[in-house]
Amino acid sequence: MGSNIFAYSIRRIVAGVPVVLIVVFLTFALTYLTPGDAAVYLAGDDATPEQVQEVRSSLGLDRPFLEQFLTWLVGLFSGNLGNSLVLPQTVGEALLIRAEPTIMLALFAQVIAVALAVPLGVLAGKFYGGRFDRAVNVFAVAGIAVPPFVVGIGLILLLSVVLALFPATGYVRLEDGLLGSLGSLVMPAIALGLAQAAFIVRITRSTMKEVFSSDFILAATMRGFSEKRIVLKHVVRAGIGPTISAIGVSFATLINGAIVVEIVFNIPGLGRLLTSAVESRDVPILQGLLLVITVAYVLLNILTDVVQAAVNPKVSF
Amino acid sequence: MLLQVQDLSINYASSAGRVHAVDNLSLSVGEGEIIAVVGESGSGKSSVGLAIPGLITASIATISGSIWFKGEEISRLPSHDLRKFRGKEISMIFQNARAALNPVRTVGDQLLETLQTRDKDLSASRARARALELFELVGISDPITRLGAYPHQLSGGMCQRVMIALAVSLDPSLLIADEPTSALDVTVKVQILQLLKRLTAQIGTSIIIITHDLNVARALADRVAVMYAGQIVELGPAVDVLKTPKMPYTQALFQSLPRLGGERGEQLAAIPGQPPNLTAPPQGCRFADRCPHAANICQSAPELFGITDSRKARCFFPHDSLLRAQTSFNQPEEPKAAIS
Repeated sequence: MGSNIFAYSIRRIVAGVPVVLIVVFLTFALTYLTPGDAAVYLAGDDATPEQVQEVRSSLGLDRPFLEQFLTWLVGLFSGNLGNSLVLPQTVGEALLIRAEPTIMLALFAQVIAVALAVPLGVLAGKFYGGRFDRAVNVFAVAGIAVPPFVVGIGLILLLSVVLALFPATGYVRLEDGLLGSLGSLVMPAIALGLAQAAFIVRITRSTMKEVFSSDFILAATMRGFSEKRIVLKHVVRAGIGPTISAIGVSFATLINGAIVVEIVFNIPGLGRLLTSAVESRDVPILQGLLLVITVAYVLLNILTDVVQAAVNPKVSF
Repeated sequence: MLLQVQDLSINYASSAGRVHAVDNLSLSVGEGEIIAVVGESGSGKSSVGLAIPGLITASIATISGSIWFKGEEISRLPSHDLRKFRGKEISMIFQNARAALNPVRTVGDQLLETLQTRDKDLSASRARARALELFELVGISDPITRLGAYPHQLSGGMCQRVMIALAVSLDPSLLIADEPTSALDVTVKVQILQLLKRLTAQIGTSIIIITHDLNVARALADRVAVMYAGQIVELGPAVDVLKTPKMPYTQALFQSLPRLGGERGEQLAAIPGQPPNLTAPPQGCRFADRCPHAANICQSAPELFGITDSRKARCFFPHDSLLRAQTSFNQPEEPKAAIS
């Protein structure tokens, strides 16, 4: 089966390439079609139209759309994402340095989300309709309804301003110590993780409820197994599939959430890079970001399906 | 007596009120005996099967009465102690065997798990040998390969054989089989019934077989208990009850069976009317509204009267003659034009 999964992954990755290209092309077209460009931004408010035009042609922004796109594409295949129009860096450098905080934040938030959502969802499914389940449900609805930046601001008020436990904003890079780095991410990761957990817990709760009331759990009970064995070896194992999908899908919303949370907590990650690149019409940065996000999303989807196949014998390649 | 159920009543809470699913039911099962509990959907037969090993919890139903197993009142045991009985003493076979097997684990894994968690001293190799032996016992060909199969890779009949292997793996004294053959086609059904019969002879297990199918009862059972609207309405040796049913409901059940060699397009004699609403069961005989022999006295509740030493019927007029029932139930009707 191992080589099967490998061949399957390769096939899926190859199939993902057109998806990436289409998304990249569409974003290129969108940034081309929206009014205003980096030349306006760089030339400044006082620039005359002639000066703006000069900046524009020096950046190559006056060339035809397809030519610009193809130039970028050729660069991409030679491993060159181009230069930022605004920052004194290449796109590759800018992405690399901003990726670390975002990846750390995303993983930390997802760990919190899974550690919270899976046990809560399983227990809510077991006691479906009971008091515990209703409490979990309130949490799930609140977690989806209250946006992460509100939770974030609340956490800053409570943990930084009142209790002074964590620094309110900023990020400590990994090379300055893992613990310090994680410490700087506790609040943003909780803010983001709670929203993720709310989504995952809803899926987990409803599938686990189904599994708990299924015939094979009744049959397992009838074989005299302990409660613990029934929950861990039978219920969770049979019902974890949709939760895995939910975790995979939630990575996509994580990207949206990270953008806002990075602003609230002043974390120099990809989300911050994205917002500033939109403001300054830094098309090469935007293109690079979108490429990274799309590739990450496609890979996560493939990973989700592979894990899914590993836990569900009915899925074959 | 191996099992004694005394005055068992089960009330489910529902939005329409309390449903009196089982009403004061008493039943005993001897060592090595096969008893069939026969009834239509909603007669309470499955609730009885689930209540015996304590699978109906207080959160979904109110249960009264007592259940004695090998001289111990198991209905009083807390769930932790009850667990020791399950599988080892009392085990169960379900109607839809495929749904009763964990879909993400191989059937061999599930069988080995059952053997090893209940006997910690059993080595892996001996457990495997026992598993193969069990698969052979229930007639699974190529057992070594089948141990590694998932439920969805097996046929319905094969799943039922696995289910039976699981159920008898710990040598239980009592096997509760809830419609074990309803989901199977006719030839497989016969094989499974023969298997169950052979197993009782071989390992001396008693069986409570819950079924709506009189033919299953005929093929397998030593004794038959007919249930209607939560009560046992007729009880006795299978040969007698199935040959000369006394209670009009049992007779009506026979009339509604299709006959071998009957005319094509012949109408089956359906029992007129509907079973009573169990949120408010009738005061008197629960079958009275549908009974062709009902009289005024049937407005008061009949007991399960003894007719002979071994036979009982819940009826004021236990009828002997099947012929008489036939005239009243089989109102001759012009055969409709054959549909097919």
